[in-house]
Amino acid sequence: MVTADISRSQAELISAAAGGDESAFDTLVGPLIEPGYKLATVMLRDSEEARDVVQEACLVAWRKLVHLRTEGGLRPWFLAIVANQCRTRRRTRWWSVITLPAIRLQPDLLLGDVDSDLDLDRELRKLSATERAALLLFFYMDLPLVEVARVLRVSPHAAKSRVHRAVVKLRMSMVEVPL
Amino acid sequence: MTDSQRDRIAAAFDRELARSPLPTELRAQAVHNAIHNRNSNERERPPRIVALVAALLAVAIVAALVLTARSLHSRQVVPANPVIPANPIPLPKSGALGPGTYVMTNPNVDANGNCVRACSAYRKITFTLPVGWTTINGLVYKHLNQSDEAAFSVWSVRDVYDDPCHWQTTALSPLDVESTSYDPATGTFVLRPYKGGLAHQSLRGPLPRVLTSVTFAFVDASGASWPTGAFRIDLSVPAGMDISTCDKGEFRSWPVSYNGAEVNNAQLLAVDAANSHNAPGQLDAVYMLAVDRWPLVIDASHMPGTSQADLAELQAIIASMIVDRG
Repeated sequence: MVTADISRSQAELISAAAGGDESAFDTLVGPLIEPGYKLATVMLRDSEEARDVVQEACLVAWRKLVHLRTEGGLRPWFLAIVANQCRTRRRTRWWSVITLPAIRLQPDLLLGDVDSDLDLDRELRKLSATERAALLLFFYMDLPLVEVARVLRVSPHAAKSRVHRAVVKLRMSMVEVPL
Repeated sequence: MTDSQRDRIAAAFDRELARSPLPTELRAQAVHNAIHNRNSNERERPPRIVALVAALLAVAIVAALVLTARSLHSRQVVPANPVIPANPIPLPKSGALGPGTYVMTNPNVDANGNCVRACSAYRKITFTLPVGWTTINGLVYKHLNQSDEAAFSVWSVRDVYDDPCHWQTTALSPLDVESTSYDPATGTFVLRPYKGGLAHQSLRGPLPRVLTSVTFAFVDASGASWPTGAFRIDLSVPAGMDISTCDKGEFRSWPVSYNGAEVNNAQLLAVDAANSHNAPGQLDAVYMLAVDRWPLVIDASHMPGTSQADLAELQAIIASMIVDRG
């Protein structure tokens, strides 16, 4: 049975990777680096931070490999680690003073008039990190809700609510500006 | 949701992510570093006898800290003759922390100890940790994001939100400790009647919320030390609260600061996610110290599931703090 073969193959890879086989670890996690980086970029709104988070997530993933239950799927497992690392970063308090470069990089945030020139890009940026993650996973990465839920560590019902709520917010704010 | 709207959302992410392309070397680097880090750790594993001595030392430190800890509402215990150790360990940006004395340097002062932006005027804080604590970006914690989390962090705070859930539209009021007056007879600060601050912040537990007097150890550049009065308030986050319904899905006690002023602009705050309590049921012991410029705030938080031993450790760590005023 193909599924069983794939599963056994993955189990073998996990075993090899856990033993320090870099190639096996790359086969398992390598394809998930890009989606992980995108998720981190969207959640943190900072590519440098996202890069750090992905590296940290890889380390955590490697350490937790032996606890991985293959039936849950590698993708939601790894993306959940990335999301958790992002949450950890977002909880950082001491150093979280906005830096001038961070503001300069986002000049449109300084325009001040929230109610004018509404467009989807801007409204998307104004959503919370969790809402942005939910939309990215569901609409951009096309993950099924059950996987979105695993990544966000909530129930499928809660994941659906988050996606729905974020869409409602976008709809509310995406007012057509009459010409 | 139509296909057109779905496509528009995906396209918006496409545009946003196009500004941050995947670094070409990231995959190889991340995979290699993960494996390499493991191997490094194995190579650096200490011999058993060293590990045993380290464990015994750690147990002794924990025992000492636990013995000096007091109950939640007891008076703050400070070192009798606070002397900053000669070589405290600089708190790293992230990673596991061994037992020992650490130093947090105020990130908002220059080399001369002068505030360079919104700032509480102090140079550094030393504290002693038992085994098992970790840090990331100034947050020192155990069991982060778990039901038994314990953590602390340090802030410069002038004002607090009246409603920490609807912080984008709520009013601000000065931190409670700003409403004090010095009583020369007792040499202490006393609170004046006040209707704002954390004592009246909504969603933070039943009213009336009282502040209790505590004492912290201060030292100055000459090495002179003195106990200094401060105030503590105990706050909570509603256990059944769905924080995702709050503004931007975050529960914030106070605004962040930027360049000498509070930033209370929703658009600017969109680039920051500081001071976000993510956990319903979280309990905070907030210590307010009236230093020069902005008050210094130490937030010691735990969860209902935090063990008594971890809680005692957290309290002992706070009690071990020495604030260097410079």
